[in-house]
Amino acid sequence: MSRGNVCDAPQLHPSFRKKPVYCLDCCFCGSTVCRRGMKAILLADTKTELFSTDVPDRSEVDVTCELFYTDNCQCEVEHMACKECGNIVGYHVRMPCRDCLQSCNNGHLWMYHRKVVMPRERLDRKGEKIMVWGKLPDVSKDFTYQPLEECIRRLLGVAAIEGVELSLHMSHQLDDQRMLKEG
Amino acid sequence: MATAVKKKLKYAVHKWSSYSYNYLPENICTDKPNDQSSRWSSDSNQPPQYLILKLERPAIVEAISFGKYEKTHVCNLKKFKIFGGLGDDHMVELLESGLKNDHQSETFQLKNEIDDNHFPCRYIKIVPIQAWGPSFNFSIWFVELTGVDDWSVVKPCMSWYNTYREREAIRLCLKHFRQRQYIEAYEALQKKTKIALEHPILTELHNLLVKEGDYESSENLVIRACEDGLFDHYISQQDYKPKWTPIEPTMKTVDNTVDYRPGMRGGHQMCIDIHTEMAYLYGGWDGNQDLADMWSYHIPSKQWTCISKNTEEEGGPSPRSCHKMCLDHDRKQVFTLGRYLDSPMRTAENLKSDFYMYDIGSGKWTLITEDSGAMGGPKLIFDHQMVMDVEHQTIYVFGGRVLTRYSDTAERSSEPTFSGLFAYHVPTNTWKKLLDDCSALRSRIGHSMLFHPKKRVLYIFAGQRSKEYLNDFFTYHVDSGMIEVISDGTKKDSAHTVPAAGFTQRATLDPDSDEIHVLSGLSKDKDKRENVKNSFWVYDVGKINGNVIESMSCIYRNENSGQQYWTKMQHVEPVPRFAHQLVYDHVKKVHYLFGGNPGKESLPKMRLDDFWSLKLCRPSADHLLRCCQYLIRKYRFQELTATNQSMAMSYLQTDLADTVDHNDPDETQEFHRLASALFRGESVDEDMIDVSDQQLSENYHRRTELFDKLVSYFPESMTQPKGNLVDLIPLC
Repeated sequence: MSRGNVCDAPQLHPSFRKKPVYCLDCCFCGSTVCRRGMKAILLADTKTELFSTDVPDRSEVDVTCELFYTDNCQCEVEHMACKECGNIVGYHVRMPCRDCLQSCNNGHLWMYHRKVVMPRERLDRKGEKIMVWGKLPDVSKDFTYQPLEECIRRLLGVAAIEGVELSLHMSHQLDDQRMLKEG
Repeated sequence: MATAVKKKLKYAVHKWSSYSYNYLPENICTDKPNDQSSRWSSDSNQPPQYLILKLERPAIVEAISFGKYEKTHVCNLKKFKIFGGLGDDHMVELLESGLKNDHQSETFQLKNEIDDNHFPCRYIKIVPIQAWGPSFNFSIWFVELTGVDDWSVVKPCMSWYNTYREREAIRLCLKHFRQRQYIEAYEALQKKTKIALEHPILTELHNLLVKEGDYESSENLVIRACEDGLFDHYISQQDYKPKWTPIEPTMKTVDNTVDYRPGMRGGHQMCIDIHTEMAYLYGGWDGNQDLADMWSYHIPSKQWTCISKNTEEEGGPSPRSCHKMCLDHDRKQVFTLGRYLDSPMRTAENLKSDFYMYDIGSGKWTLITEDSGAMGGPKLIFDHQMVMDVEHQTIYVFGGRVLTRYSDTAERSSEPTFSGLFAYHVPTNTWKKLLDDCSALRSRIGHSMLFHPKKRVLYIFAGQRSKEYLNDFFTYHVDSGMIEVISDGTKKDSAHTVPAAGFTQRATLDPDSDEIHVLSGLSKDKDKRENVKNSFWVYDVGKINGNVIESMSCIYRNENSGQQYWTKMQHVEPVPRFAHQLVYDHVKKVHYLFGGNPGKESLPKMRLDDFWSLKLCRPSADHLLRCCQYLIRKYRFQELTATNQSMAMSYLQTDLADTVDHNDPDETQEFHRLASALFRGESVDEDMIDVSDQQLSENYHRRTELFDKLVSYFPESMTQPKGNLVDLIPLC
């Protein structure tokens, strides 16, 4: 199944609301490719980890216009690539198949491959707590986070210059392990 | 140059527009197809994006090769341009092309000649224009340049190039000085350099026209030039204009029947004998059934004759459609092979590929074989192509779909089978399979294949393979068996430069002018039919040189699809269609088109029986001469209006009126405007004789304008440079 399925009822299920929101960076060029990521697994293959999003930022990713079908289902999908480097970072379900629509899913049609993105937990507006999906504003109102994001990135950049790069990597790895347990 | 050693040219990246992340420009020097990061990538797709490479030494650059990533990538360059020059600020365009979005490296020849002389480059500029993903940045993985940098070769080219530039600079000065009447400077420069601005005949024209204002002598000189064929080159560069004429055949009553012309049909066959000026038409589908009637059409008398109402009764082929036919004009024989059968009609017996020959002289049919498949030839096929090499008495058959029985359950699920390339040698009655359907020669249906008797090649293009519409163009050399791909049809940006794929094109070849003509019609595919179009294309096969697009021109396209429009046009231009036939008389240069399927959804059984001739016309020398005369007289008239209105008036009514094509609405309208100009400014008559300096200079200026217009009809080798010195001055 090509859609990222979580065993939630769509949209407002309580367990869905508690899920953290992730920012995703392209592992090839480091650009941020998503600020509204949700961790997901493929129902058909629970070993396949994914991140999904409801609405991608088209200034960060775009589709490559190559349509294809997966082995698992009849969904019509197309590659999604990082706008900066053009490498494939995921896919877009252009036309979900009946099977996928009938099974439970999170309603997201944009998927990021776990192996080619680096996740960071997104903080809330005050920068105090980890943002969860239940508190995430609708995409049309979700623009206040950007200045803060930029600020964090700049701080990280400074840290890297000062030779703390290694610890940053470590935190990513820790992140990974934690997520594996969750998955 | 021919003997010089071509080698890889060393270069360094000299300048770049931008780069992103660690996709540094110098990455293009190394070829690592398995490393996605071994590339240059721009940080934007906003123009201008570029890389400038600096060669180690000036060189004659022959070719540029692009290496790629091992997978498809959206950042690959769908469109790019290459420029070159000795400095990094003055470069000329060497190539405009595009890369396929795949993993295979591609090599392109670069322009490196001016007037048959090689010119050297020190800098090569690569300008990406479009990536495969329109919103993505541009990436180049690897660039290799090949050419000659041996100084003993480059040096003479360098000095030639410098001389060339010097000479052109002086000619531009000469042109400028003359235009601006710096006569002393002009004469001094010419005397000192001894460089000719133009052919003496044009200098004479300039003296007569611009200096002296002797319009009459100028006109005579132009007439003489036209008679000497000096306009021929210009005419040959002009586009053809199509002229369709519906042919109303001469009525002929035979035994009180009015069967004087073939009925409605599609999927029929037609061939032409240019020596006897006879066209032959056979078979087809009338909307309800297959036909077996055979007709001849005598072109000079415009008369159809029914040779046979049913060839089967005369020992010939059974009724059929989607067959193919070819003609041996030396031996007056017609061959026919293949047919389409609806699947319920197919039996083991009729799935044999019968092969017939019709002898025009005796009017007798001969069954060459009941089944060409059993002789090592093609199995029963339809929508194939068949052409004849008359000189060697060999018939070539390529493509077509092999008919199979659907009762065979095994066949149902399998892919359709396409037939390969076969040759039939008439004198020995032998079939030979030259190639099976393979990747080097992809078989297909509904394609075009033409034989060039002098070049001895088959031109094969377009067609359909299952759901895929093919857009490629290649040649097969019949003597060597060599296949040469001219265009693989993957350049998707060529929608306006090549006929759309999958359209049921009909093609003919003119072996004398080396031209291929393509009439594209209605798509058989209903989904693709919204863009119903008649369009006519001419390929100049003489010019085909690795880039088919350059040598191809669309003569016209008619995008009208409304029924009302085509009802109105029914006597002017044939309605778009498929399953029609087009033959070409390359001696008289006339095409003939008959019948076909107009693809009307409301009338699926409707077939056409209209008959058309098509002539491709270029402006004649006489036409061009008249245009020149009109121009000359128009300018003379305008000069007259400023000085002597009554003379101008009578000149307008006589000499000028004589040269106007009153059938041309634009010209007529302009003529009327000229007349009204006469009465606009009425304050000039007081000093008719004393022409002011300003007037003289004004005349000189206007005559120069006329001179430049007239000169454009002469071959470029005779004329002053096209460019102007003032245009070389940058504005910032």
